[in-house]
Amino acid sequence: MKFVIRLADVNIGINSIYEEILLLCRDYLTDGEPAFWVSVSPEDIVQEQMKNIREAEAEGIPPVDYRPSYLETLAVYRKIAVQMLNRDTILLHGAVIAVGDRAWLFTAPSGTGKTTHIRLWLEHITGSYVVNGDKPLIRIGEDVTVYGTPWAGKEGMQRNTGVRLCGIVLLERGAENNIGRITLSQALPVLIQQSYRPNDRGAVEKTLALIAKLAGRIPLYRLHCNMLPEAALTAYHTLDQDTEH
Amino acid sequence: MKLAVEMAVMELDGEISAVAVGEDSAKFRGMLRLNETAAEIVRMLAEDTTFEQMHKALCEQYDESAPEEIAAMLTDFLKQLDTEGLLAV
Repeated sequence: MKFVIRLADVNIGINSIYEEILLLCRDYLTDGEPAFWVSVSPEDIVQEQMKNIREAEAEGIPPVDYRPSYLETLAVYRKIAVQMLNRDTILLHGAVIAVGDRAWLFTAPSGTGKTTHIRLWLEHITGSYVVNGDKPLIRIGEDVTVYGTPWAGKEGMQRNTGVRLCGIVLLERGAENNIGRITLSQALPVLIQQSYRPNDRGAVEKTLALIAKLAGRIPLYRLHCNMLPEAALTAYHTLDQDTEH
Repeated sequence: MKLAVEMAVMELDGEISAVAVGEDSAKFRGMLRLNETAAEIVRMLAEDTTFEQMHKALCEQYDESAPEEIAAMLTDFLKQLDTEGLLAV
């Protein structure tokens, strides 16, 4: 089936095999003309399954036998992410929470507690909302804008919107709550680990250059936090003070 | 010996860094920070090579350093790559 979605201010045509991708993208459908088309073949789905197997092996966990329609959604986003590099837009794994017109991205390896932390924001920071809980797109222009996407993790927390990204926070578990600025050099290993890594060498180099550009435009932080409400209040207090309204 | 995964070497934030690329990049999601000599070794390991070949090339390039010193540095760095699972012998 064929349909068009609008992501990060770009209309994208999708030519899919299964219906699952259409349901996933229902909040992002548009009647506009696509800037480019993404098509998925059965071979792409096999490649996606192979990639999952390799990643599971690398992590030392048993691979999951995902349904083909789900694998197709991953293959589509992978192709979109590569195309978006040409528009200075990258996919960074993390949870984005916003208050008004300011957003912050929390990133960390899976299982660290990103979702737990942003739930604390939702409960304790008035006016906060999730832009995307897992795989947002970030456009690095004169301003840095983060966009909601349908690819939002198990919880599906996302909003079809674009918000000014005011900082990236590397989240680590800790007994106490504290947050401080860090340099690009300190943040780079995690940012690279959490970025979408295309197979193509040129695309990888473009991704890394965009990460360096991104980190030069907005502040970077490290947050040590526990799972108590003070974690969100500590983070918000500093991020709010550091950011122009 | 050669690298177990294809790596891109580039300058980021004033430092030389290497990251895995290609289908095997899942084996190494992190990055290496390299000095110029280590970056040269990573570049040589893109193709199948030997300790002796790399040592010879480095001794020619860094002729102000003692061959023993270069051999020790090369051994240490290869061990580090091996520990990270980045070396196919």
